[in-house]
Amino acid sequence: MTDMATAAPVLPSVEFDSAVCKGCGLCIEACPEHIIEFGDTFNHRGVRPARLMHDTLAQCSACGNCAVACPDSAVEVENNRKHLHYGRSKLRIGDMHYCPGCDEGTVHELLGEVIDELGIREVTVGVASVGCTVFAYRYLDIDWHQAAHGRATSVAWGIECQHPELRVFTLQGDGDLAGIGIGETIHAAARGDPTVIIFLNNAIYGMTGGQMAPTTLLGQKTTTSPFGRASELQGYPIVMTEILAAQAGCSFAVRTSVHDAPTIRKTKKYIRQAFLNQEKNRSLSVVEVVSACPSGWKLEPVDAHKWVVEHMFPIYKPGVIKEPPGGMPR
Amino acid sequence: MTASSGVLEVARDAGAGSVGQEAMLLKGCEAIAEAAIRSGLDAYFAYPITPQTDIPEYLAERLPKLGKTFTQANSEISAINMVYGAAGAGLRVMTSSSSPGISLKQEGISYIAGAELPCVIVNVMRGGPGLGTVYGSQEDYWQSVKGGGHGGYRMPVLAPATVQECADLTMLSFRLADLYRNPALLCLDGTLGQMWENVKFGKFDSTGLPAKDWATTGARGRKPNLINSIIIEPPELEAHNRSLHAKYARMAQREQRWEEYLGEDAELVIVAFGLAGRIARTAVDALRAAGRKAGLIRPISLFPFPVDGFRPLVKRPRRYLVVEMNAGQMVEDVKRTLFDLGRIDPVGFYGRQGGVIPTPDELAEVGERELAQGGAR
Repeated sequence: MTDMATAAPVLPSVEFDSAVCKGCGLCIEACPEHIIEFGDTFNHRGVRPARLMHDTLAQCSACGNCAVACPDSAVEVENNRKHLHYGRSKLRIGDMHYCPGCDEGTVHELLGEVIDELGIREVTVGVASVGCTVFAYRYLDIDWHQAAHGRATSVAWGIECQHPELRVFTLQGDGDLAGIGIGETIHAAARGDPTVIIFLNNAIYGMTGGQMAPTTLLGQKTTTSPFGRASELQGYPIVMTEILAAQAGCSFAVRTSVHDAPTIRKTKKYIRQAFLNQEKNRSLSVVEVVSACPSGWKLEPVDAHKWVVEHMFPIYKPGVIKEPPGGMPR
Repeated sequence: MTASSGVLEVARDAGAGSVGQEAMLLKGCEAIAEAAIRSGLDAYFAYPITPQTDIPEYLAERLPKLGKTFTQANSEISAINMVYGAAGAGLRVMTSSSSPGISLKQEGISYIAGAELPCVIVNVMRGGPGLGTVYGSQEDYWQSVKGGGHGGYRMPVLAPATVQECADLTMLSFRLADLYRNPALLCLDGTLGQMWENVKFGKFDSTGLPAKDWATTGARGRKPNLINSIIIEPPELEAHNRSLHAKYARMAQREQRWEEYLGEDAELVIVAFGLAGRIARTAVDALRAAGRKAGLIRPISLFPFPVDGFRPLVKRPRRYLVVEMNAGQMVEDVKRTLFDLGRIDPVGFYGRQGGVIPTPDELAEVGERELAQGGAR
């Protein structure tokens, strides 16, 4: 141990893919050493891609937060000391259509990592219904079924009903799951379908350009609640995951977020637990991800993620809502 | 495949007592359910509605014992989307409903048509519009053959007139669905669905059906499969739609089915499908007994419309009388067909609506009136 002091420091490697970067700035916010900045030239998207500040690699702790926080998986970090890699899952394919700083990309990355790490890629079928996730099939290298608005859980049951070997998950937004598809969703929980639901709740209709969603907060301005959602006019935001957890056929329900690197890491753990629960208990698992929609909310991505904590969490409280019988899956 | 059907005779023989060992006395709805099982049904998704509920009740008892899926969904919309998922996963799959429930399924049927998946949909028609009545009718002809849902798709639509045909055409529907990777619709009125007759089951013909290598069964040793109906770029969607419509044209060429009865020398040809066609056949017998030259064309495929069934008839002028249990929906296709074949023969129409069934005497009387209007031009 005495030669530790004289050994050369093992530097990490940090790579930013400047063509993929959308300039959201979430990596800059996530860096504990404050050594990431926007570059001074523009890429083909018209944004200045993020980069490591000049001559700061020695200051990098190789924590991987920048790679974890990047919704477009544009950052690769090699922690050469601990032999850890942070960055794009090998199941993540394609250039995502999502807006800069959108949490959908982060969730795609987590799904890719979990499916790959669990070794279930060859038996996994994703179901993405209408909403921003409608093109999800372009981004994960697995079998996909694109469903009608709100009907993902019904399609999922059709896929898995005679195929017990398949691991079927849905990727659904709040308009899809809590609005037009609320009946399908609750009945999937009542039937106890062995589906994993990944529910992205960003309190707005993103794909159609920012209309009021069932989960829109009181006072929140959208294009169809231009003066802010008022309970006497538009009612109250609907809280879904507790409703699903109340059904006997739902064995695992959790609400989480991906607003910073630690919560992204925690959400990956929950998604993994949902797939483990799917195998063990053969009933519904729900992971609600309270998400930011910077474009719809008309906020900078970093501010949108602060808004998640300040405004969404009081209504959509993060935490485990229903533990499976026998405790959390490991 | 352009051949007239002899199945009505088979049914009459069965009903007349020349019953083989496998004959079963079943309702139309039950014959459909049993034929679906014998076609290799893997999964069926239901929602109760009169007068088709005998189908889910029959299958609820049978399918679980066979290790197959019976699911009562929370709505018709949910049921058709389960069909969408199951068909995408390569299963042989069916749903059934009656008119208002079929309306609810239309969005899903459009997706299934767009994604080119095989499945069978059964509509045991009741009177409409709206909640209408639970009594049998043919008021969904337009909805069945002209699209129903959005986007201008087509599907084979088969219309049985006997319980035997309920069985035979169910099996054929599954075959056509697989053959063309397309939803197929079996369309009967509620009265036939509730009618008891002897029925014999043939063997499901699976010869030449394509492998389902496109199904979402997990990307093991192959590239991922995608079941999809979104094609956002207009030129790509146009190319897809052209390919769909080329397929519909192939169906139109190969899958016409009809029954012709005493048409050759007929001065009056009644055109009627389903139960109305069956009643019209009895009326034709009555008219013949009275010395009147009446005949029948009973379309069995409503899409494709059996244009070829009219070809032998248009060699000389006649009168036509379309009989439907609606206000006159198929009549436009009969007029179009005659026009396309170069005829401007007079085409009359007689219909009963709202669940009212015409009697053979009533139709014979209408036939007499039509004939009394003079010969055709």
